[in-house]
Amino acid sequence: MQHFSTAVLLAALLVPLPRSQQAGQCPNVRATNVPAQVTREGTSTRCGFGVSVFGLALSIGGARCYRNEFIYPAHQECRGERNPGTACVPAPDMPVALEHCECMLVGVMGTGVAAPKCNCTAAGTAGTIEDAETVLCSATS
Amino acid sequence: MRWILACVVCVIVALIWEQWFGAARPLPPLSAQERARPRPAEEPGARLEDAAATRRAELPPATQEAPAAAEPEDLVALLRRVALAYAAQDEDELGRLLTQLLGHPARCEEVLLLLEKGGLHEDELARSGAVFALGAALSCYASATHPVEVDAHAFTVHVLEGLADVPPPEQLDLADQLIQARDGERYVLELAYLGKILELRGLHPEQAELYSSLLVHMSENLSDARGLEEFRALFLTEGQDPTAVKLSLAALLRADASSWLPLAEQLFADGHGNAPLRSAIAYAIATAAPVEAASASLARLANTGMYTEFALLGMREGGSEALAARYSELAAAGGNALARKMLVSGLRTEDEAVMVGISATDPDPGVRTQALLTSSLGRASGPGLLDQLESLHAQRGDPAHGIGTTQALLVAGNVLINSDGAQRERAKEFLLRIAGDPAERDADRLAAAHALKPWMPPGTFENWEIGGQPVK
Repeated sequence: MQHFSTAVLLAALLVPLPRSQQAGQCPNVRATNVPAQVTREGTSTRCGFGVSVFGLALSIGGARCYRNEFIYPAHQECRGERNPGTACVPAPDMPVALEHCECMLVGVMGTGVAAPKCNCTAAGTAGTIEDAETVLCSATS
Repeated sequence: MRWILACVVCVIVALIWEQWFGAARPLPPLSAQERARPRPAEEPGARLEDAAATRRAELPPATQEAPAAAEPEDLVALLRRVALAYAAQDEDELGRLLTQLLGHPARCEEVLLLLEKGGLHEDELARSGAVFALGAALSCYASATHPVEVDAHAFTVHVLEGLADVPPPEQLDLADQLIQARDGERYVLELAYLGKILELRGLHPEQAELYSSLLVHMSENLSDARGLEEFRALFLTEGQDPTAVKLSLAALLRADASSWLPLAEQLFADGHGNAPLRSAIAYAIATAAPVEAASASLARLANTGMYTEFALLGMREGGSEALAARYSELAAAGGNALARKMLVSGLRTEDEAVMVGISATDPDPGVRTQALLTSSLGRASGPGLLDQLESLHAQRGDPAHGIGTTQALLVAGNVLINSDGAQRERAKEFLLRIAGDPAERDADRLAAAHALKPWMPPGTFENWEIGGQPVK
């Protein structure tokens, strides 16, 4: 029985506790979720194709295609949202990805035809965005 | 039995009758589709040849002939064929079908009605064709040279009015057709439609952003005092509509940046927690204010959610120089590391040597990393950048001079994607070294292995374990 209680005690000590805020007073706030976002850079071209109607050259249909797209990951920010017993602290930065896009002919599944579409490929990491997280305030605060 | 035999004989007689005399029956009535086919323009042999030639010369070309009036169901079939011709990229067929449809403005009005009243609700192909057809009609009718008798302005107004009732996703597609419609270099939605769009925007407050988006080309090409006044009113009264703010503020900044920039910055400060509004303001500043004023303003407002805006400013004429000048000022003063980082993010056209220089001299590790990320993004890197990366990573224990492993991995990942030959091999070796180094954090080792995996021979990581987990 003694071995059992020692094991329980050890196990309890080994279980990682939520990160806690050690500083003085607890601010009673938590991190706010910010959804992922895609922003587009510059002017767009149109992935359509030209036709002649009454002798006029017209560009028909097609999605707008921006040369670059920045993809911001879902992350958290400290915006002072109230939450008793917790604090909002900085977390490791997260990468912001960049994609290059261009109009390409892409096959339409099951039809045997290809239609002009905006096709984007990874170009790498454009930078980093600050992240945040919610931590428990320490019991003494 | 006799009855059965009599029936068999009757069937045989009927078959023989059909074979011999069936052809003499009158043809069934033409289907609507057949009726819609172009008819011969001349009655054969009824005129003298020279007179017929004169009349033929007066006729429009064969492709411009309009079909006879068709039934509503034919219109749906026609819209389907438009969508199919588009998907198959059959330019000739698409041109022929659109010529057939656009020759009758009333039918185009009917297409709009079908789209907005849900008449094509269950027919995705026809809905798609309807959007293409209306886009073509907007451009075609706005041209001075088409042969169709139509009030182009009234037609465009009808499409603008109908847009509010078109269900998604075609609503956005139709809005896009309206925005993109043009006659040569001239956009169809010019200043003449500003009042109507603002009126409709007011009538449909739930769709204000959709209608605001139609103002984009007007905002970019504004050269009219009355239009500017309208945009000023829009900016001052619609401060919570990001699209309206973006377009109206851009127009105002182009006309008078010194007056409007302070107000824009104040609105940005007041918009704390409203990311779309802040993004709209920053976008207007980056694209419309003079480059020197814009770089100073964006440096004051900088946050890490503004990569697009700094990149846009860096691409404008003189933008990169303005960003570099502002960076030099801040670096000399040793202030605002976040602003320096974002200014450096816009220097995508600077030489690699300049960016490597920034990464060697800036006192902040975030700026040093950003300089290498910017330089390695979207272009091949040289040996100088790889040397600097390894040098900074070797000093990772000293935040005043080095950069951390997590940041170094991102730079190496960029080199892997955008470079080839010797520099890509060096990036691979660098990542492989981190992946195999037990002194590094497991998360960094795993990230290095994942970045490498598509570039290595199959089975490279087969027996690898990081943090007790196999590398999948």
